[in-house]
Amino acid sequence: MTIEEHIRLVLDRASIGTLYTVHEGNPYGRYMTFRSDGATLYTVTDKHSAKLMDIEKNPHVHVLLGYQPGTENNYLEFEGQVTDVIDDNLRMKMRNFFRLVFQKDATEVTLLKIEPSVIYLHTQDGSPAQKLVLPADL
Amino acid sequence: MDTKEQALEILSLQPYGVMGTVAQTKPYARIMTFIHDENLKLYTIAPEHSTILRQLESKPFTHILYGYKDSDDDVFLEIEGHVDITDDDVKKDEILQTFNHIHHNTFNDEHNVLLCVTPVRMRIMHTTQNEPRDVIIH
Repeated sequence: MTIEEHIRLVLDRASIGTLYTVHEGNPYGRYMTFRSDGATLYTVTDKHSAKLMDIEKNPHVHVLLGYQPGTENNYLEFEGQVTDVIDDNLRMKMRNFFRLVFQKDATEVTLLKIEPSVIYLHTQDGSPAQKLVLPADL
Repeated sequence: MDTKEQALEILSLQPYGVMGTVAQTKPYARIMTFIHDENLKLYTIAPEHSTILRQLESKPFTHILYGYKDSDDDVFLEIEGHVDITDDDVKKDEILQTFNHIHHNTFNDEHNVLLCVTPVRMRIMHTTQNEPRDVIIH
């Protein structure tokens, strides 16, 4: 299997991960639910959340996705930035998905689009992480 | 059970956490193996010439997510703390034994550095409750 295929398998399996931002110069992380479209990740957050304020000041983010303690499952590491969601159809599709997940008023949440510059595939067999530089087809 | 006892219990359940750092205004995070003491200090190891060590030398502050297991009713810790390189042969031996047991490796203390995380804030988070609870550290 290629690295792209391994990454796709993790993206299809996993939806929970950590999102780290920079808060007043320091790292700050939280667990989030993600949805992918190719290599791009989407998540939602409250419009008044601290993390949104962090991202408005510094759009760089780091995501770990698919790590499950005590399992041999592969997991992914994303380095990227939060960018605007321009496509209205995509925005609607993602909002509908996250509405099902969170049952939250759509006017109170905003969609975050995370465009990675690099993805690392971590296997738990002790071998070094494999690196995929974006853009690439997934 | 008070908050410190509950925090110690969460720390005892599994030896993994996600450790965040900042480098050149970008956030980074990785899965790390930890041990802890009764004062809620965490210990981990990193290779002498590793990226994480370089990042911590320039910005010795971390944010750790600890104990999440991806279940419906989950309790985990958010830990903000200062990171110091420390010389404690007993702790170093203990973390190396834990690390080697989990990862089936035979790392020794050569070329590895013991890191001590002294928490400045620790919160007990609950996936089904909105309000986190601050842990009384001292």
